[in-house]
Amino acid sequence: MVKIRNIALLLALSSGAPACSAIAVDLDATAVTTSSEPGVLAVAHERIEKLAVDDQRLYWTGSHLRPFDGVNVWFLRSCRKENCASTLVTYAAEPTNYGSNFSVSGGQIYWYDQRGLVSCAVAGCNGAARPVAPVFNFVEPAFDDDHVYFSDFDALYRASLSQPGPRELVASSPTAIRRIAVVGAYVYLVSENGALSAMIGKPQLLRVRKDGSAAVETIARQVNVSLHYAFGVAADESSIYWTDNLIFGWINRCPLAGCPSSWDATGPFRAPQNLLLDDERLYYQYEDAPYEYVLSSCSVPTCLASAPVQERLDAPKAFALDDRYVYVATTEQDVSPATHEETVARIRRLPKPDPEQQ
Amino acid sequence: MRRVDLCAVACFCLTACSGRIVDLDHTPSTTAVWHAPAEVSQQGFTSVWVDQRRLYWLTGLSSIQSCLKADCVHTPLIYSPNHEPVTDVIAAIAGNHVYWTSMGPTIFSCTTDDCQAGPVPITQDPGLSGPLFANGDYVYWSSDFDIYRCRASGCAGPPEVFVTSAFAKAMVFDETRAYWTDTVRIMRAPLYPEAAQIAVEPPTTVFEPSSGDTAISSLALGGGNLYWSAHGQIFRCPAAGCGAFRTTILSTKNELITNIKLERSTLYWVEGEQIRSCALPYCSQPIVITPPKVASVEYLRESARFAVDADDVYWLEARASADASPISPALAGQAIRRSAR
Repeated sequence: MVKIRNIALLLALSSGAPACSAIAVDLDATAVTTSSEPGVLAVAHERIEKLAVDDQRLYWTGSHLRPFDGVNVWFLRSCRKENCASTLVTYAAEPTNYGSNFSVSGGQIYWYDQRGLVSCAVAGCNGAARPVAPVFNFVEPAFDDDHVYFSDFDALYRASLSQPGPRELVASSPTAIRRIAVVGAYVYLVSENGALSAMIGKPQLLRVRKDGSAAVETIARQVNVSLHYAFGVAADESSIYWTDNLIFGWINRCPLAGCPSSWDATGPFRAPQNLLLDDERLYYQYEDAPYEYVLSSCSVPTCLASAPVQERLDAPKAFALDDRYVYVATTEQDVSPATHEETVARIRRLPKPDPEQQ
Repeated sequence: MRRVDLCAVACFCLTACSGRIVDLDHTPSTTAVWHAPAEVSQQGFTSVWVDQRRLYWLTGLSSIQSCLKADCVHTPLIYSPNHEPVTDVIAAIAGNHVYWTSMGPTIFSCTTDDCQAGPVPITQDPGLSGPLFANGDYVYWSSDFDIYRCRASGCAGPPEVFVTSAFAKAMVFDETRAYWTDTVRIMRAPLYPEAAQIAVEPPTTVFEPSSGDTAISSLALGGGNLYWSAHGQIFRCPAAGCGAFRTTILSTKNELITNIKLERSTLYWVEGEQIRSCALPYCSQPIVITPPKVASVEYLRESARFAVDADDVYWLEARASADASPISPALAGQAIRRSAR
């Protein structure tokens, strides 16, 4: 764990906060600095791999090469949207990356490491994360506000975030579960197809209610979802959207009731991976060229491709939304695996695209 | 006998080079003379290709190199000097371009005669599986579910989808079509002259096996026929299609047949550790081209253990088992030899 020195207590005052809360701040951390650039909330001296926001804070997972031994250290951090550099909290700093997903709920932040699901107060816990539940992370777990959903390939389980107890079986799968995503009242699963032919078997897209109260439904019997890239799924009242996360990729839309033999698709894009649905606008990420990540958006349900919202994202999941803004982490540097240079990422706050824009 | 010591050509990454030998004999094929090299290669050779002008090879440390056939020792060319060597590099050569993969995996290209400006990154595809294939100005490869292609100049965004829901273990081309096998069936599809985002004409089955057929390991095309090897047999089928009714043109008792190639009307293959050939269409009298010393580099993804041009057969000579180098695959060839066809 990162050695946090000079811990100070900061009374976090915010007009939107229900009450003052004590925040442990990493005062001597140089991971984040300020910037006078318009719209730049912070400059992070590390790679930002996933960004999230709530009313007050920015959260991110990131990594950087430790200078004295070259080890790539994985971080989980947060800061206030205003005064980010002076309100930085580091929850985890590990030489192993167990996955980029995390969740913030009830004043706690949850993630997983070698012990399984762990948590820490958003205010910080001085590097002493609390074990919550054993969690398989063969497949990247997914969160909602109350539970973490995880798989041992053969079945989908969930564990409560707030009430430690045994895992619950949500659904069994006759074929290996490869991807998990939580959207609304459902968990979406990408699982291997039972009728795999040599070398070219395509997986299927399924969904099950989060409490396991109904049978697994098949959304699409064959989807072009690769294990080589992250997979994005989103849903509204009428449609489900997901990414064909291939280098010849698409963003698909089907009725929630299940896909007909053909369905609407927008593209092609190179390696679209991540989706976020915000009211009637779908935000999607793809690669302009290898490792050059672009965030774009479209109006649903038609989803005609539109101008990019932001180029040079730091990573496919380096964007987040709140009620008013789009938050992105960007870098001008090469972020391909071939690079060994220190990454400098800027966390930016952008106005949301004009709702009239297609 | 003429020998070219490729130490001067290929020892760019070695501190001490003990010599790679390209034996450019023009010995009549009827004698298929084989000579032990004077020195043992440290890197070894894991694939060899040839076109009208150049001889190409892949070293055990995954460097793609070439020379002019007419003057190999004075014309060395290294295509991938600045890339970390990897052990599963795969390569293809066609249309004055050489293509190869490196970490990522990223597909690179260079023109066959010049790579001074550096390799051109074609694309990066973590879903790449199986070999690369090249034809005209395109490189083809199998990805997660589909066969893609890009031009030699590169694909900045998405590649072209050549055919969906397909995998190619081997692929050959004529002027208008590509033919491939996923080891079970043989399929064909037209070569679109311009970018077609999705192949609108579905692929056609050329050969659909009956139950019990063994896996297809290599494919060759010529004279309107497709030829393929499967275990110890070579089969033929009209390129227009034959359903399940292929003709057996050669059958061995126990030896595996791999790497079949067709040059004019002669078929070549590796049988055990020898290269053999026969005249088509009947293949009634196979002859032995080389001694039983062809390198067994099948552990590599897709190796080219020999190459054929209009005059000669170029082949990887196996090293003696005691000669295994600590820095090269033990089964990599110690030399590239040339024998007259």
